[in-house]
Formats: sequence, structure tokens, C-alpha cells
Amino acid sequence: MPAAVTLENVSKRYRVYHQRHEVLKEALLRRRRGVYEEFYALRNVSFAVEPATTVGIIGSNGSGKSTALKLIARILHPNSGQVRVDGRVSALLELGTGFHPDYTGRENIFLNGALLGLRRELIRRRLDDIIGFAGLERFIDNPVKTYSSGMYMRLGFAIAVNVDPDVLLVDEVLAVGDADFGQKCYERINRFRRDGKTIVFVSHDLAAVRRFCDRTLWIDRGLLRADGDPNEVTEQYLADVQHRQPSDDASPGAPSRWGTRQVEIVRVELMSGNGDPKYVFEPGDAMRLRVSYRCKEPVRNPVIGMAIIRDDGVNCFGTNTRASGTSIAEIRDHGSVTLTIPRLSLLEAGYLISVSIVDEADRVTYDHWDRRTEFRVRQKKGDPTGVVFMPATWEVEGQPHEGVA
Amino acid sequence: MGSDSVTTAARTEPVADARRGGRTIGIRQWLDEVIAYSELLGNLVTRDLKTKYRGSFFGIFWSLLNPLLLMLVYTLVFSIIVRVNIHPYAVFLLTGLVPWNAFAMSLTSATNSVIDNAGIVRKIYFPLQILPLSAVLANTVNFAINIGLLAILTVIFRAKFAPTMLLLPVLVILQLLFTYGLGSMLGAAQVYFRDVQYFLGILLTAWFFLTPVVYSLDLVPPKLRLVLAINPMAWDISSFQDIWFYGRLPRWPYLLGFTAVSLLTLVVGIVAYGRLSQRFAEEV
Repeated sequence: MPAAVTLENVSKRYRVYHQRHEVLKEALLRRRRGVYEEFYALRNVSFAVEPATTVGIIGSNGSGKSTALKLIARILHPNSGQVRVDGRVSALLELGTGFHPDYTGRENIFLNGALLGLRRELIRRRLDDIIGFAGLERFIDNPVKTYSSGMYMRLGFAIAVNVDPDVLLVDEVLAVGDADFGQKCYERINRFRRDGKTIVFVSHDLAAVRRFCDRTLWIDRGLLRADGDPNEVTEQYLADVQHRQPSDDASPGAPSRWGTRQVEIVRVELMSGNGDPKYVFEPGDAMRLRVSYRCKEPVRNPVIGMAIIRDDGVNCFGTNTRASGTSIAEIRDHGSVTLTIPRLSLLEAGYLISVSIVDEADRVTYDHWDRRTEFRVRQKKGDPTGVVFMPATWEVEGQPHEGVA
Repeated sequence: MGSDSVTTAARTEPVADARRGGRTIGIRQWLDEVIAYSELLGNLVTRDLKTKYRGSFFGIFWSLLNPLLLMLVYTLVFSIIVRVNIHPYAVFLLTGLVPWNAFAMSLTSATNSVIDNAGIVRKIYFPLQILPLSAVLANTVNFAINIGLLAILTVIFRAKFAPTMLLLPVLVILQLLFTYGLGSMLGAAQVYFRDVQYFLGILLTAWFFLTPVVYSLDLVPPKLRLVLAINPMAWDISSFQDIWFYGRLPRWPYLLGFTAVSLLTLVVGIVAYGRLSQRFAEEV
């Protein structure tokens, strides 16, 4: 039986333009040098996905995992190597792409369905299913510009899963939407698995990767780093993320570090309450964050700050030494500061930490590490849902009943 | 979708420039993909038409009002102020203005068709030649409506019916091929050089006056006529005027020349667009 998806020595380069408007001038003058630089998003990557298996691709931002997905989807073309797909592909790269804001939900189902290659006749037959799955019966004849982002996503997903693909490509989309719908999406994807479809999915959600995948690929800076059992590969990945030196992290376009470097951040470490390295927490765990710095010359009154950002961009928490009344008169040579969070009040998700050292008036940034440290909060089934962890108690009819909400 | 098995291949030797490394799209493949996605094509054409006038009071009537107003203005200028000796001038003008407007508007939308749809180009696989094609076809609906307007005005002004008028569909089709070919090239170029649309705006204005739309080629001094005659749109528009307004057969060199140029532009457009479109998703 042939593999459902095969990548053979696939390389993909992107161009990063220095100044876009120079392109025409340079092209006319036939001077190509210096207009753009090329970088490899994928370098000689080979793997094959057996039919009826679910494969997860993990890796940090800019590692090339989405590029791999787009190559399989035929949206991008490789610079060298071969991509082969056996069967019909459907890619859920972004839900609701191509929706027309002035069109009603119903009109958009037909437009979007056509974009995904669905026949009008088929859409008409499945119209009620799609509307029902999205839970939009009452709003389907309103223009989608009046929809909430959740409704938008739901409609997008409902259309996309009706493509009936042999190979389903999923990029991170399940991270969005409310919990109920997220559950529905997962159920739907599980049904695809049971039906013997091949699924390739890219995610930051390592818990989901472990839950769903038969096999996990880890792509790191364009190279295939690991390929195998989901539990082993995700552990390897987390261990690497924790120990990674910041200078290794080269994601173009978005500078993840800036500042004058009068004070340099050397290392950011996450630890458990007793100081052991730790990067997967449970709600309510203690967390310690140690920031090591060095400076050539003494710096007076620096302020050290940190922020926790959920991987979908929600700013969850931020604090700094000045705000919490810890003044640092002067730092010299090297040293470290440690922030202790006795109870981590976050629920299951991936999180990123930004750390910065600025001057007293917040005018000069000495060094800023933007979302370079990752951690996860994992929780047991039956734990609370939402964004934050709040200790809470139920009381039933006057009879005290202990428990966490 | 046509085939069940899909191979996306590129040459394996290291290539410095992706444009040299890609596979070329043939005319046959172009057609197969367009047929497979004909429903999408229909949807995009409808979308263009629906959104163009949505929210405006006169709706689709604007597409008639525009040439009518232009006709009034030019008729005022050229038959009352300047006194060009063509009668009825309004019909003459509209005979050239309707195809010219269709050409200019189609070309402009085709040029912007890829970047206007950047969102879906980046995230969804579909045959990208659909984009300039739907832009040209949406404008062709307008073109057809305007031809209807031209026919009505021809009757109102009691211009005589000529059998050569039946050649109109041939000229329309040739012009569409030319527009689509050129529009594909410009649409692809626009992805890489955003200056193309501004350049096109100026070019179209100059091109309009260098094409016999408001005047007849007969009025041009013979020496200058040679200069104007190297312009394929002059061949096209003057053929429209010949068959519709003058009721005579088009000048054969012009008709054959325009046929050749249209076919050449179409083929070059399809091939060039096919190559350049391979990097649209990352460049747009």
C-alpha cells in the first residue's frame, strides 16, 4: 500500500526582502544581489505517512512545521525534492478563510465550499448538517460580518470537515473557539480517524498531540529532529525548549529579542517550588522563574519584568520589580533575580514568557526576550475549564460539600 | 477535482531561482483545472458582481450610467464644441467606448485579482488562474449589458442595420482572449512589483487617447495613422467601429493581426502566470 503522504528530500526556501519597493528597480537594473536574502524553512526533510494514521508535527514558532503542511496541501511548491499525496486533500489551515463579510452565512457556505472544491449539489445536500454542526440555525441568513469570531470559526470548520478528504491537514485551528465547540471538533476528527482517514496535524498543544497521534514528528529550524512515539518525542521537545539558548532561535520577520544590551539577559529558567527544572505544571503548582543577567558596566535602578502570554496571544499576567516594590539600586557583573509564584492560577494551555530589563523610567530597554520561554499547564480530566484557576467551593442545600469548582 | 493522485514535483537539482525550477503549466492543464473548478469560477464571478454594487441605491444601473454619462460628455465636446464630422456621433462613440471600457475595467480588475484575494491564495489550494479569469468574466457581464445599451441607442438614433454587425461576437471573444492574457501577466507581475497597478492607471489613460475611440482612424492624417496602427487595441476598436457603425467588413490586416496578437498574448499569459503563480502563496 503506498504511503498517503510522502516527502522526499524536500527543501523550501523563502525570500526575505530588505526593501520591497527596491525589487522593481533592482529587477530593471538586473542587479539581484542584496535585494533579498533566502532562508531555508525546510531543509532536506523526508518522511512518509502511512494511510489511516494520525501524525502530529510539533516545533517552535518558525520551525517550518506550517511550511510542511502547506507543501502537502499544494499551496507552496518545494524548491527541491518531491511531495506526493495519494488521495484527496483537505487543509484546515485557517477557519473562515475566504468568507465574504457581506455575504450571509448561507451564501458563504456555497462560496467557501466551492473554494474547497465541493460540488454545489453536494453542498446543498449537506447544508442542514453544516448549519446544524455550526449551531447557527438562527443566524444563517445574517451577513457573517455580524458574527462573533466564535461563530465565524464554527461555520468555517463545519464547511471544511464536509470535504470528505482522504488526507486531512489541520493547523492549530482547534485551539480556537469555545470549549464546547472544541470538543465537537475533536470528536469530528476522531471520527475521521475511525473512518481510516490519514490526518496530519500541526499543533502547539502537546496534550492534544499525545492524545490523538499515532506518531509525532518534531521539526526544528527546518530539519526533522525526531520522528516516533508521541510521548517520547514531545518529552524530547519540551526538554529541548527548556535548555535552548536564545541565540539559537532565529525566526525571521519577528525579532524576538531587542534592547541596548547594557544589561544582557543570559538565561531564563523555569523551576518547581523546590528549584528543580520544570516546564510542565499543573494548576495550583508553585512556579519559580529565574532570570540571569550580566553587564559590563554597573547599571543603576534597573527594573526587571516578566509577562505570561498564552500561546493564542492572551496576555495572562505581568509584573515587574518596581510594581511589586522591589527596588534594585545597582547591578554589576552578573547575577540573577527569581520570581516565585506560589500557586500558578492558570489552566491547561501552552504559555510563553517574555522577560525584560529596562531603566527606571521605562524609557530604555536594555534587553527584552519576547516569548522565548515556553511552558505548559496540563490538568487531569474533570478539572475546571476556562482561563484561570480559582479555588472555589460548592455548598449543597446547607450541607457543606467540599470540592473544587 | 480531476485526479485522485496528486504529485507536486520540482527539479531536484539545487536551483538558485524558483522561477527556473518550477514545472510549466500547459494549456491542457489550464483547461482541465478550470473545468474542475468551474463552480468556484461561477461563485467568484457572482461575488464580484454582487459586491460591486451592493449598498448602492442604483445598483447595477451604475454600469449603464457610466458609459451614458461619458457618452453625453464626449458627444457634447466632439459634436457641439469641436464638431467632428461623424453622425450620429453618440452611436459612433459608444461603439468604441463600450469595448474599450470593458477592456480597461477587466484589465484593472485582473491586475488586482491576485492581491485582492491574498487571504485565500495564502491558505487554500485552488487553481490560481481562476482569479484573473473570474475578474475578466465578471466585467464581461457588464460588457454584455453595455452592448445591449449600444443596440438600443443604435435603434433610437435610427442608424441602419448592417449584416456585418453579426461579427460582433467574434470581436468580443478575441478581445476577451487578449484581455485575459494581458491581465494574467499584469496580475502576476503585481504580486512581485506593487507599482504595476499605478503604472497601469497612467498607461490606460494614454492608451485610450492613442486608440481611435473618441475619433475615427479615418480622421487621422495618413502619416500618423501608421504610428497609431501599431497598437493592437486600435485594430480591435476600429474593427468594432467598422462592423457596427460603418456597416463594413473590418480591415483584414487589423482583424488577422488582432487575432494573432490575442492568441499569442493568451498563450504567453497562461504560461507566464503558471510559472509565477507557484510562489504567490509566499509572496502575496
